[in-house]
Amino acid sequence: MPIVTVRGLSRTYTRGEHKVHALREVDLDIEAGEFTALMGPSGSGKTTLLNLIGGLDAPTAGSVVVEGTDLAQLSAGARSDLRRERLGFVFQAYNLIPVLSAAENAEFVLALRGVPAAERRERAHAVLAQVGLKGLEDRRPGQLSGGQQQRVAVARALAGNPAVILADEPTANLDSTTGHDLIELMRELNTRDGATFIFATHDPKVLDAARRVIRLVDGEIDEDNRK
Amino acid sequence: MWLFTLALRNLFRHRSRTLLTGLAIAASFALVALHMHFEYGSWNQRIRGSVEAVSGHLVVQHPDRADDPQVEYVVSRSAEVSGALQRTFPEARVLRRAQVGGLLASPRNTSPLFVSGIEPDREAQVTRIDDLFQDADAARAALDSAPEPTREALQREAERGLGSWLEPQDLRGIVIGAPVARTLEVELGDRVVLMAQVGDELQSIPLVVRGIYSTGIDRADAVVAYTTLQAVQPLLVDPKTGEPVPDPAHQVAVHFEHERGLDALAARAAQAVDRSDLSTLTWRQAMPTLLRQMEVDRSFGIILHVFIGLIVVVVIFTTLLMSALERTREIGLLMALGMRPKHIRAMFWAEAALLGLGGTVAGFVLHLPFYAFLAYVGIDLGDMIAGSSDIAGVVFDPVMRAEFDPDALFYYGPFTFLLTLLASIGPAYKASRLTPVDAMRHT
Ligand SMILES: Nc1ncnc2c1ncn2[C@@H]1O[C@H](COP(=O)(O)OP(=O)(O)OP(=O)(O)O)[C@@H](O)[C@H]1O
Ligand SMILES: [Mg+2]
Repeated sequence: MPIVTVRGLSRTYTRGEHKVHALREVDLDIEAGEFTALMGPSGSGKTTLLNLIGGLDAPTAGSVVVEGTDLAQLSAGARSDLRRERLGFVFQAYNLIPVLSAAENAEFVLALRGVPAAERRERAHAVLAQVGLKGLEDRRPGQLSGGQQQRVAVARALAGNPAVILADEPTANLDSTTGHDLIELMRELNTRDGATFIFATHDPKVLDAARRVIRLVDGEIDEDNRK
Repeated sequence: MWLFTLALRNLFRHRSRTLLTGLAIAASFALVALHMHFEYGSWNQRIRGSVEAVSGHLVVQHPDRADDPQVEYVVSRSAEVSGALQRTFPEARVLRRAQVGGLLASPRNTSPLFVSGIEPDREAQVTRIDDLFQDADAARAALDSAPEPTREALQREAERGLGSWLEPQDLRGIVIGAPVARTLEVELGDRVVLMAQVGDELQSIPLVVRGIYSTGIDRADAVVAYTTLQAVQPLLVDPKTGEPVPDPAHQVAVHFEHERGLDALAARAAQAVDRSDLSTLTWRQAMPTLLRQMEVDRSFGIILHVFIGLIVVVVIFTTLLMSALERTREIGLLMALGMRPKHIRAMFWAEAALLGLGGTVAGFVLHLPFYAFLAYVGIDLGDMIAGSSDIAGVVFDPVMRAEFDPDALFYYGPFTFLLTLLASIGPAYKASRLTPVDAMRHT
């Protein structure tokens, strides 16, 4: 059974008089352990699709089923629970909680889950080390570069060992070496731990690493290639 | 716990705004607490004064006198009543009084006033008027040898009592306030006449000025004079027959060292007196108007406190709403990461709770020095407090002092805290109602 099932998914935004069809009747299955890249021109609906899969937004039509649960059946609170327990997120921008240190951001989801402080602190330090931020654990987001902030966000997404990680242009703000390292890291987690990744990206390096590339154009799936 | 960490960090993020809001809470609490302490102190002062001068802790009197102090509501055979009470309560101070309104006349002028007919030696044990004469004598004695800087104070002290307090056997003596002496243009040893209406007739009692006192509250001193009970007894007659009443007084008052178990003591007193034509009351029952005034005062106080509380609510509400609006994107992130809407609300409540607690504690600390000033130095209200005539002869000291009202701590403290929480409900709901994407897209 696919870990994510998308059927007839549409999202229409109303901007005054006129309607924007960000997503048009998309059907998609993501298998557990897949490493999938979403590509496509700006405005093609990548972020919209990720948000709908993550239950951050409600579709105009269609359904999203994650691990057998139809998101439409869940209350807002239950969707929060699902995100906290099963999903990891890296957003395009404004990823971090400004009043918390890098380590506190990385362990935040674990704190929400009620993991004991010592255990989650250890985990946070481990994942921060994995994304190359050893020594910067106590910095606040304002004291980190854009790339470093993005890596903290990735560390946070990894910290909770989620079933699915949804990442919106995770390498967009990183220099090419750091970006490359990050992709390598995610690949490793994917092969070793079997974590499922779905990215939106323009980055050719990510596309190279991806084993499945889905191309969106105007809110529709244009191509879907497995390597 | 991490909720409080988040809340605390968020409060620290806008240090000056948090400080200002906390200060508003602190100031409002301090203001209300000081008001409560001051009210509490002045009412206690008034009650103590009233217990001293008007009722005693227990009072035996005509059943209708508590509501309407008419001259004909008398206690007959008052010495018997007094004796019975003294036997029942050997340690207590038992004293008889009569109060008559009339005109005091000198050859040059007249002055309307209340004359208290008292037992001088017994009254001296509860009133402080007699002390004025002793203190003034002492001040006069010290004045000659006193160094220059202290002379002025001694001089003032000396002027507070001319002559002496009444002697028990002195059936013709009267002690008047300095303003009365000025009006009547009389001095010590001068003759005056007390004129009062008894039934349809005007009775006059010739008296001699033995003492002239000054408490510092002229308007009070202008309306109260003291003479012996025997001197005014002829004015207390049976209203129906107009015949003299045997050994009359208006009340027999009992003063204890403290007022614990007063209701039980009242029951014992009633038993000892054993007279169906008299009632035995505690001071609360004897002074219903005083208590009513106190209630009215309290109600106005509460209205004021609630009003100040509302200002606090508005201040906190705007602060938290502002902070909810500027943090919308962040709140979206928190929800995206798995915080439930109710967690978001809890975070706001935690912020409000910390703000309220901090503000209230700061307010408490802040108000202490002001309280100390009000309690130990006080405010000299001078003639202002004698504005209402019911206070005449009751409030002795024009300086009003605060006393610590425990309600300020145990009722207004938690109330301030609750108000803060109340004010945070709206902003908390506002923050928690958006969907994560809408919140995160917010700019
Ligand atoms: N809240 C919104 N209101 C109105 N229109 C929106 C909203 N969000 C997205 N859109 C529109 O929906 C379409 C898809 O947007 P989306 O953000 O999904 O594109 P994208 O593929 O992620 O683009 P990019 O590569 O620039 O991030 C765009 O035309 C965008 O303008
Ligand atoms: Mg996008």
